[in-house]
Formats: sequence, C-alpha cells, structure tokens
Amino acid sequence: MKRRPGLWLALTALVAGASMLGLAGCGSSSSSSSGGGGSGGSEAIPAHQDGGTVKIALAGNIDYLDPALAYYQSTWQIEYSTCVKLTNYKDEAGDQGRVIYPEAASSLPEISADGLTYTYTVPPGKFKFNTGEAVTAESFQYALERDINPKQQSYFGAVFLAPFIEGASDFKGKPGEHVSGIQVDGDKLIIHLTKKDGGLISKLTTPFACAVTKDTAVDPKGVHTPAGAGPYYIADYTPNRSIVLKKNPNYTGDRPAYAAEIDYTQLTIDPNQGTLEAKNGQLDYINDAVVPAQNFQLNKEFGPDGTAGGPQRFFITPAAVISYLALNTSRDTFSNEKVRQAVNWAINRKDILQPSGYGAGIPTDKYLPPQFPSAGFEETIYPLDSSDVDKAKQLMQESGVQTPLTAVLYTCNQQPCPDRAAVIQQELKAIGINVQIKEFDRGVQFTKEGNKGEPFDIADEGWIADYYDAYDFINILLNGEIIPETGGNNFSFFNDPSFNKRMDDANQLTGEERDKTYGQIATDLAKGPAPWASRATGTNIDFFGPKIGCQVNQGSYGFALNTLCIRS
Amino acid sequence: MSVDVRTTTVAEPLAGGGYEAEGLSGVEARSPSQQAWRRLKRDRLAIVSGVMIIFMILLAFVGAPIAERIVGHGPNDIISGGVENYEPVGPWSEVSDGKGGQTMLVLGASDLVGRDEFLRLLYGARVSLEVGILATTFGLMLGVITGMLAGYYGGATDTLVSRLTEIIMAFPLLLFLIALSATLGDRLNDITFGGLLYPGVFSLVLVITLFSWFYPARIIRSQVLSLREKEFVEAARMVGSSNFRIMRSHLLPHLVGTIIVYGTVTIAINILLESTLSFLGVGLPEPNASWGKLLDQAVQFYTIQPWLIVWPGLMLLIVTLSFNLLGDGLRDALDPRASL
Repeated sequence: MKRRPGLWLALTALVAGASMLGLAGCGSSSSSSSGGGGSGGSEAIPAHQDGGTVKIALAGNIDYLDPALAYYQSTWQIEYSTCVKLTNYKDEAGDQGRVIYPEAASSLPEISADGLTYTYTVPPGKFKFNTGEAVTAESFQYALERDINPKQQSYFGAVFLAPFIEGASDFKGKPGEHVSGIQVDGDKLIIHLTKKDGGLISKLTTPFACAVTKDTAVDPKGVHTPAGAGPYYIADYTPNRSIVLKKNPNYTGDRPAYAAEIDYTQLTIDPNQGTLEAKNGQLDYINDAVVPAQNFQLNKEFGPDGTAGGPQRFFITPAAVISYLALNTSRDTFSNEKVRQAVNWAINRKDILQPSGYGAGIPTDKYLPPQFPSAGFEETIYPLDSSDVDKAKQLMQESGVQTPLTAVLYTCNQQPCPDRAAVIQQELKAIGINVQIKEFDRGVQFTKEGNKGEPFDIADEGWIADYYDAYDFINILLNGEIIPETGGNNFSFFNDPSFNKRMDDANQLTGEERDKTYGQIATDLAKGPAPWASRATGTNIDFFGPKIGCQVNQGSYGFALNTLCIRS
Repeated sequence: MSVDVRTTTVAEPLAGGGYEAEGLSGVEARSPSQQAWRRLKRDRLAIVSGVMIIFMILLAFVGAPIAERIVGHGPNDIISGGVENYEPVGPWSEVSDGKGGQTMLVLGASDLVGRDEFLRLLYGARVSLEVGILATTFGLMLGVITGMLAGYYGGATDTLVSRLTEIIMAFPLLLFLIALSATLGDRLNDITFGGLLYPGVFSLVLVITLFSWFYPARIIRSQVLSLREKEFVEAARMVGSSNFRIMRSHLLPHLVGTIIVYGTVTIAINILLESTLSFLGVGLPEPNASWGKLLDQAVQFYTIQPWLIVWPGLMLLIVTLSFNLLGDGLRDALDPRASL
C-alpha cells in the first residue's frame, strides 16, 4: 500500500542503541514469518570505475523537489544526496545511520536551561552550493522561514514548526520580514520556542530543513531545481519524465559521490516493466517499482543467499512504518469503542499482510514502529498471527449494537490494496460487519479521508516516520485538538480531551521519561478507545541491476544514492 | 386472383394444371426469416459460434452455482492453502481450506489471497456477459430510436441528432469512460436491482451505453433516410397511418436484420470494453470478479503463474470471436441478395 505520500525517516540520537529488534543490518532477518531478505547492503567497496551514469526508475512519480514541499519517500532519498542540513545522518547502515551528527553546524545545538532556546553555530563556507554560494546561518534561517511562510504552503512549516517557534504565527513572508524566533547573529542561528519541543533537533534533521540559497523563490508549486550543497545537485527535472542529478563541483564534505550522474530515466514506469529491466540490467535501481508478487522469486535469486550468484541485488529492509485501519469514530458504525476493539480481535493480521507479497512487513498491533525507543514500552494486546472471533463476537454483544452493521472501507485501487480489502471484508463479515469496498487512486483516497464528513468508516492507511520520535505518530495522527475541515490526517477523527492533554504533556518531556510516557499512551489507546486496528510494520524493498555496487542501506533514508558506484 | 406468396403454401394445384404440371411440385414460398435461417444453418462457423455463446451463458448462469456447490467454496472465499511461498498455487491443486478440510482448486488460485481461479472465471463470465448484452441492448435501443427519428423527420431533428453523434464520436472514448467510471461508479455501484446484478454492473452498463448508441444511430438514420422514400411508406401515409405507426410497423421490421448483425458485433466490443475498464481498475468493485479484473490481477504473476493470464484471455477470445463470427453469419444470412 502506498502510504502518506512521501513521509520519510529520520531519527533522534536517542534511538541509537535502543530496541531495534534486530532490524538493522539484518542479514538474518529471513527468520521472520513474512520474510525479510536481509538488508545489510554495506559490502566492502568493490572495484569500481569513477564516473558513469546510474539509471533509476520510479513507478509512483515524485511530488516535489523543493525541500519545503517534498514529502515522498523517493524525494527524501534524492534530497539526502543533494542537501546539506544543520544536522544529518551518516552514510551508514542500520543503527549507525540513525545517529544524528552535526553537518553544516559545528556541533549539536546548545539548549538553554529552560529548553526554549536552541543555538546552532554554522561556520560559513564549510559547504558550498553548486552555484558557488556559501552555506551560512542565513541559508538555514531562510530555509526555515520559507517553510513557515504561509505563501509557501509547506505542511512541515505549518504543522511541525509554526506551533512551536516564536513569532511564526505572525509571519507573513513580506520582503525583509523575519520570524522573530529565528535569529542570526554572526555564525549563530538562534531559535526561540514558545513551548518546549523535545523533538526539535530531529525535526531540523529532516529534508525540510535543507539549506537553500537566498534566491530560492517562494512558490507553493515548488522550485524544480533548487541549488544543492550536498554531494550531488539537481541539474534537471522534467515533470513526469526525468530527473538528472550531477556531482556538486563545489562539494567540500566527506560524503562519497562515485557516479558522475544519477538519472531518473522514467518516473511512472509500470512495475512489471521496471522489475524486468532491473533484472536484465537495463535499469540500475528500482524500489517502488518492484512487483510484490515477485518478491519471493527475486529474493531467492538475488537475495542474500541468491541462487543467481554474484553480489546481493535484492534487499528487504524493515522500515519505520505502521500500516493500520483507521476506524472512523465520528460515524455511527464505529462510535462505540467495543465495536472498534472487536475489529481488532476479529482481523487476522497475518492474512491481511499476505497480498502484499513476501517480505512486505511484519504483523503488529502496535501504534509505534519498532525502531522507535517508545515502542519498547508499548504492549502487545491483540493476536498477530490469528484472529479471535469468539472474543470479537462477545465484544460486539457487549456493545449492544445491532448487527449486521455496514462499514464503508476506503482503499487504493492498485494491488495489493483491493486484495487486502477483500480479506478484511471476509474477516469482518464473521462478526456481523458488512464491508463495502470503495477504491480510489491513492492520492484521491488520502485527500478524501482527510475531509470532515467524508462517508467512510474504515481507512486502509499507513504512516512512514518523518523522524524517530513518537510525536510524529501519536500527536500528529491522533491528537484531536486540531482536526481541519480538509487535509487532515487524523483519519479516525479521534478526539478525546484526556488523551489530547496526555499527548501535549508528553511532548514536553525528553529522554526515557518521554519514551515511557508515549509507550503508555500508545498502549492505552490500543486497549481502550482503539481508534486504529494496527496491522503491520513495513519494509523497504530495493532491487539493483547487475553492474551496481557500493550500496549503503542508509538507516534513515534507504539506499544512499551518493554511494552507488558502477562495478568495473 | 393474386396469391400472397409470403403467407400461402402453394403446393396445392392451381387452375390450369398447377405447379405440379410445371415440375415445381413441393416448392414452398418462404418468408424472409425462413430464408435467413436456411442460409444461417449452412454457415457452420456461425452455428458453432451460436452454440458456444449459449454454452457460455449456461456456464455462467447455471454452471457457476453448480461448480460452487461441487467444490464447496465460493468464488470470493479466501482459501488459506491457495497460496504457497507467497505465490498462488497452480492448476489442479488440492489444498487446505483453512477450516480443517481439503478443497480442490481446479485452475489454481487467482491471487495472493488464494481465491479460486476457476470459480472466478465462471462468475466473471456472468459479469462480462451481463455488461456486454445489457449495454448493447440499451445502446441499440437508444441508437435505433434516435436514428429513426433523425432519418424519418429530417430537418432540425436530423441536424440535432447528427451533430450530437459527431460531438460524442469526437470524444476520446476510453479516457472519458475511465473518468466517468471513476466518478459515477462510486455513486452507482450500490444499484443492484435487488441483487439481480452485481454491485458495479449497473454503472458499467450505464457508462458503456452512453457511448455505444451513436454508431447504430448513424446506421439506422441512413437506412431510414432511404426507406422513407419507398412506396410502402407513402402508401401507409396515404391510408392515414400516424408517424409513430409508420416507424413502428413499417420501418422497424426492415431494420431488424441490421440491428441483429450490429448487436452481435457490439456485444463483443462491449465485453472487451468492460474488460478494459476493469483491467484499468475502474470496473467492478471488490470482491466480485470479471475477466478484465482477473487479467489485471494476473499481470503481476506473469513470470510465476502465466496460466492466470491465459484463462481469462482465452475466455475473452472465445466469447468475442463467437459473437463476431455469429454476427458475420447473420449478416450473410440476412442479406436478401445472398443465394439460398
């Protein structure tokens, strides 16, 4: 299933060493019931030629290449190789790839005692854009102000920054105007908050906080070829057709950049075609274009123990994703919490995962991905490999609701969504819920589900972590204080004042106390009001052509494009 | 006294020695339909096609429920044993039904949830035939009515109908159908006429009908333009027949052959159109099957279970070929210039 278009991963420094459930570098992950073909992807650098062109294709197109707007997994993967940020993640696999290190900043920020002021030092000229302009504290000031600027219409600016940064709500983006809470003093970037935000460093490590040049236009449609200060820059972009990345001639950092050019030759390739071309070496890399039904065969041939011989080309890597059924609490069908709990008992999470193909995920009933530190404090409540229809029926009886109920399920119209919906339909029928399936283009589905009053009862949804902190799931997806008329992402329209307060309070905390509190909130949500029926954590599936080497399965953004090389 | 050769059996001897004397004993005058039937019977391909169509209809509407009873599960039931190693099992597999028993998947499983390909093929035939036949029927009705009105009345009516058909013919048909199905389908999918049709069939019939009336309308119009000048129409008008009566009783019988021939060919086209829409994801909603949907699902398995593409493809080929060959046969049979 396609998820929130484009959310991608980042991580707090706290994540390192936390309960990773053996996910990273998991060459042995094939022991999982649903597969997992190993994910190391960090073999010793093979003999390779300098230069050359890496050819990539996408099945799902991109949203934007503008850092203020880009929100697809694929565009964050591109930005990881074209951007410089205050802090970043290293080109390393697994846990090490989720540790935040200072990139353009000289160190992690100094935080005031009250937790409301963050000071970054940005040595000017440490990095340069491909245009020759130096990256300075002003580059980041402008990047953040651009995010917050209402004219730019950045989701990140509106949801993740504006509620916390001083003066952000008054900022109109007039020429010469600055956000009062984002100041530059010499090489210092000083950020003042209105309330504590334990996740700010992580937020500023997302690609939304990429440095931008001072002449980058404010444009809600997005700038096509923003200047880049990373190892590569975006040299050309033809919407719906192609993207060309070239080596940044002014790059002064220590990140590798082997290929001379990285070309996205097709942005809407048919997955069958994409898989075939990657197999035959006409394409060098695909990820969203792998046909799920072929995962098993591809893993057998090109996985860690592939029968085809040669280096591993097919990778299955656990991702910080939760796939869930949002149960619309604002409608009659699921207004009763016992009915929602019954759904959680009635579904067989393993069966629902099956249409997604080999290695596509691991059944879960949790609200937080296992990579999150808070997930270690979250309890498992519902069955994962089976269903308990008797318990579900009992809850339906206790609810006092008359069956049969009718529930409208919104899902996408591409496989495996329809097949998955058919499984859910059959499983809920057993407890007297007749599911009517309505299929939409994924973008349409997502938009409709965010509209208040939309007549659906179940949304087949998923969320990829923007960064490795529970705020990104619990507060963003389930806090009912701000449910907009349109464009929301609280798809269960869950709004419980006591939970809202607990979520707000939890975001003030830091360290283990924060993790424990969020873990408890997640457990209480699943046990009590059950606005979701979580069903699986996800994986990234990547397939390389035969000539590609030097892959680094970066812990936060998937395979790093800048490390790809062409074997000699 | 003149003899109506259309209705009278002329085997009895007439005055003056009769036919027997002229060596014409036993010769019967046949009605046009009798002549057409005689011609059709000689066209073996058309007869085989007709038989095949009847067989398909029986298979879809009678055979499918019987097959369901025999195998003990439905076309939409999820068979846990139908998937092995995340791949659908192949033909003739006896697998676990997930309830402690075994069940037979004659043509294997159709997808990654293990549904029975054979049953889905049979029930898919129902959808394809329903959509094909109903959309053609309604499209022809609309086309015949508008074509007759345009051809008979001429003038402003003709101009209006002609321009309308030209405008609709200029539409990029498939794109428009996809857009219409995607928007209308959601609202109309629930109309099933008390369970008579599958959800989604009505909306498919509606959108296909909207775009399948203009060709018959143009053909009928041109035929009526010529027929309205004939003596029998003039005669009918002279004896006081109303326009409606002339169209219904005098013109329509002359158009029956054209309608039948065009109808059979259009059914095949509409079945393919339904499959195309389903293949593109704007056809029937889950969980019901149609051939187009089965093809759509099968594409992802083309390297693993290529048979899954073959079965629905073969059914589509047989049915469309049958309707086309029958149409050809009927055209020849209904041609008055053809020799007996």
